[in-house]
Amino acid sequence: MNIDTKESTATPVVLGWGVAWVGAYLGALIVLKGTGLPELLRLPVALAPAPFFLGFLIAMLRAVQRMDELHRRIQLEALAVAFPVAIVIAMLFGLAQRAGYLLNESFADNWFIVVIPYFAGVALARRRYL
Amino acid sequence: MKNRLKVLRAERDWSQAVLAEKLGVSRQTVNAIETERYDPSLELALRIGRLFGQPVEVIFGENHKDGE
Repeated sequence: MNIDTKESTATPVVLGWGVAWVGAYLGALIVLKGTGLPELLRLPVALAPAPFFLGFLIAMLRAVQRMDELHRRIQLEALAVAFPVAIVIAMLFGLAQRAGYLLNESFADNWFIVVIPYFAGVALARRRYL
Repeated sequence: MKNRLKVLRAERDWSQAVLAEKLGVSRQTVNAIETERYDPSLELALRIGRLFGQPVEVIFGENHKDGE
């Protein structure tokens, strides 16, 4: 296995694809929220970020494959934090909606309930080990 | 877990980066092992033992003495 001993050579690639993906997502969001977009173009615009997401996913998987055991453990512990926290937050959102609050909130825009706990998990694990 | 990695590395005048390269891990991992914040896997511990020509239980464990 080709372990990356230079700590962060894969990081710029992952970050680059991540920025491209988020940029494409926000761009699509802005275009879709705007008025005047022909119905025929709405689905292509909605799917436009998909190739960037695929690029990010491949870069991330390659980066994980090149990580050594400690950095894989950090990723695992981050996901171990993010997954249950995201479930709890999603359940609370759902209950709040059923209770009559957050009526206009859409779960489609709530991807951050996974991303924020993931980064918090990475920070906690890095503080523990590094 | 206590270990003699830092002592063994110093005896050979290797930097953490050099040791990391020899072990095929990151410098951060070497540092985490030396500062006892991370216990390596059996596979990595065996690799460390082979590199320094010593049994794993001599490098890792509670009963060793530094400088032995």
